[in-house]
Amino acid sequence: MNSPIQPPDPLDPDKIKQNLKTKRIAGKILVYSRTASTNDIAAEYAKNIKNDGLVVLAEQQTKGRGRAANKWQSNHADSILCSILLTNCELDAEMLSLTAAVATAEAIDDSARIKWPNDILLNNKKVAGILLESKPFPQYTAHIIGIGINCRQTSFPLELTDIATSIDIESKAACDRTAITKRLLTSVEYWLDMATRNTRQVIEHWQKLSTQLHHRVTLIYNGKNFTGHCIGIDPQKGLILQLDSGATRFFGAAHTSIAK
Amino acid sequence: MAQKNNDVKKIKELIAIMKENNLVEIEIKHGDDKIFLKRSDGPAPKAQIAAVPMMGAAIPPTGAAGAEVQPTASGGEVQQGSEQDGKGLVEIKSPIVGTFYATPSPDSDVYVEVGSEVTPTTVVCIIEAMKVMNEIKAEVGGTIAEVVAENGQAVEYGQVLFKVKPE
Repeated sequence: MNSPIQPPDPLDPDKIKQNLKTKRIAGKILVYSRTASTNDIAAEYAKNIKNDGLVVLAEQQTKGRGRAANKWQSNHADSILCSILLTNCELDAEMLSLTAAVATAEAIDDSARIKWPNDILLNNKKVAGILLESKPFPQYTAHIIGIGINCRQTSFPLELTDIATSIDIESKAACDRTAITKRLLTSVEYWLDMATRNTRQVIEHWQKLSTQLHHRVTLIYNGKNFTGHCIGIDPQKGLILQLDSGATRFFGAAHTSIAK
Repeated sequence: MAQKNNDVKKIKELIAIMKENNLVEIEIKHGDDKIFLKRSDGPAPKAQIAAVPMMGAAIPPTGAAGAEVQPTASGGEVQQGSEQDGKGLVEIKSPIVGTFYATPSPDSDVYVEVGSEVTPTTVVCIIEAMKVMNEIKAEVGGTIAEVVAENGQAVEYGQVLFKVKPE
């Protein structure tokens, strides 16, 4: 009847775990057929510190959201909607954001680029988004990395065609969501480990993939527009702009959105 | 559409015959078509109206307001049902075979307990089937009167999970 038909390649926790080499991430994988938000489910599991590395996947999200409540397009089994729970992570939110972006871009394709703070682009269009959430508990702070990757979409609503894309659209082929999920989890583990050992490496890699570094950027911070030349990124303070006024300023991801 | 109207008409006629003759259940086979009706207000203690696919028209169980269809990992589709028991309570039934979980995570509070107010879209539990977690919605508005299933229990298709006092 009105049921979404079963996808030809449903996400299966056992298939994802097959030959997966991760140690920390994906000790446990939960797949939901449909849920409001995978980040919300991960937040429930965040109540137990032992759930570090838990992965929540959903074939469909009914209230999937990006930053500032931007709605993320997700039809049944078109995307990879993934939340990774970290209950034992000492990275700053800014650093975690950079790390997640680098890891996601790497998992998608060599040609994927990062538009700070949380967009991953293919062919200059958004293919993936990242939403970081933190939940403080008395003994620890849990971080949830929510990642949405457009995979099987063959078209987008008219208002999005210029700004959104999918892996299938760009590759002109049908991608394997299981394989991409495995790459994503492996990549997140690799870059998280790198970030705790060698912050510099992550930043250098981010700089290689950034669409904004050395370019003019206009952003909105606390409701005000700022325009300047992007000269770098700071693992604690965020994007660094050499403003037209001559001053150098940092912009933290949590309160900033990109205008141009 | 004409076929569907025809089917509904036939079912209504059958229900009238059942009432008239005080029948509890009736089953009619005609070629590949089959219809089976069972009355919930009859003398049988577990009486229910069961809908079977027939003549191209599937009739949702009574009380299932816009029953949501949940996918299963094995393909095919199932219907979630909620229907009235003899005491005016609406039963929320499992739409699939699987494992019943009353909480969103092992360390979380239960989704609902006796006295919880629910709307048709309130998630009341999870049924894990074929390695997929399926959030089950109340499909009815009211107050939880009874939690029938136990956390971690294996449940069958159509097994009563909750009873709801409707609004």
